[in-house]
Amino acid sequence: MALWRVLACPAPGGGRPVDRFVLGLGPQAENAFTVVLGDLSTLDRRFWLRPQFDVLHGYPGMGEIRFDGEAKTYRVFGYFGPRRLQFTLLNGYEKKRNMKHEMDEAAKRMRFAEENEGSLYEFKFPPKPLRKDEG
Amino acid sequence: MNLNSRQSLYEKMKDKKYRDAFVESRISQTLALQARVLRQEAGMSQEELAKKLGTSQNAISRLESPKYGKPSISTLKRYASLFDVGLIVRFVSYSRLIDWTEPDEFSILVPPFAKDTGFIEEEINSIEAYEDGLVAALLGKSSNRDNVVDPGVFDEHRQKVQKAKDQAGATSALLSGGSQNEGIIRNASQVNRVRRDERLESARSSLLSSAGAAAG
Repeated sequence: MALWRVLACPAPGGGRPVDRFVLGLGPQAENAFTVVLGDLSTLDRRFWLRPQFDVLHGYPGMGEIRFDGEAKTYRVFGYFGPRRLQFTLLNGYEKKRNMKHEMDEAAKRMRFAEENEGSLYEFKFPPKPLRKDEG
Repeated sequence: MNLNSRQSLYEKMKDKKYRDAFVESRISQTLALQARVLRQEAGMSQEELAKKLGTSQNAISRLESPKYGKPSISTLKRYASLFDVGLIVRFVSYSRLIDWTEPDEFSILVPPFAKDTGFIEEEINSIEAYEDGLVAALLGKSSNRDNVVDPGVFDEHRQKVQKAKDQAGATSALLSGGSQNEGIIRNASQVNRVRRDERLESARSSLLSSAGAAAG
């Protein structure tokens, strides 16, 4: 049994951006993400460190899960909360040099998650295929 | 893993590329993380570990990276020996691999032999199973009741339980200040011991009052 409960935050409009991101990954990246997330979820926060995880400087409470696949590097942003032993996934991207816009977007989504805790859902792998209105 | 997830995973695994990626990621990602966690838990820096293994800090850093780590089996054996943990390297069917790689609280943070409470737990469980039968017999719930009416048998058993408790206590002391997993085990042991004490006291009272009634 995992130590952390992993949740995902829907978009304010109702889509499931984290699921959409995961469903769009290739086999290598998808497996890398699943393993990193599954393994980290069994560990104390003191073990959430590089190279698998890093805090986002300038964005208190937020961090990124880091993994590679199909010769690309990916980042999934998330934060510790809203409750104790919960980690909420906010969104995921292919890494690029400047990710400030994506990090700002994640911060906005974190505020949304804090204010709409009831809308968060348990992140399970593999995610179910999305309906048209969830994309 | 629930049945739905298992079924979905099976569907994905019909793709050979997916199967290969499944195996690759479970080795590269998990080994890299475990290597770092083992070192951290032992309170060692990469430099200190490198010195103990007779290698460079850069080699340790690469081993702890899922991107660059390509450890040989020989290196893994040296790691396992240094941290005093077991190592499994074998071929396996995919259906079993899915079960084995399902993460749980013991899958990454592995205690060294000296802190491995698994053996103590087995000992306690076997005594507990014996004790359950004894308590049931003492309370008249078993056909073996005639064999255990002597309170001396009960006291002899108490000594056995005490010995196991002392052993578990020593392990708990060893674990003080230990990791999250050891804490979970320690708490479970304490709860088990309290429950066992309560049941033994209840059975003992029952036996003594029966003996008193018979004597009176």
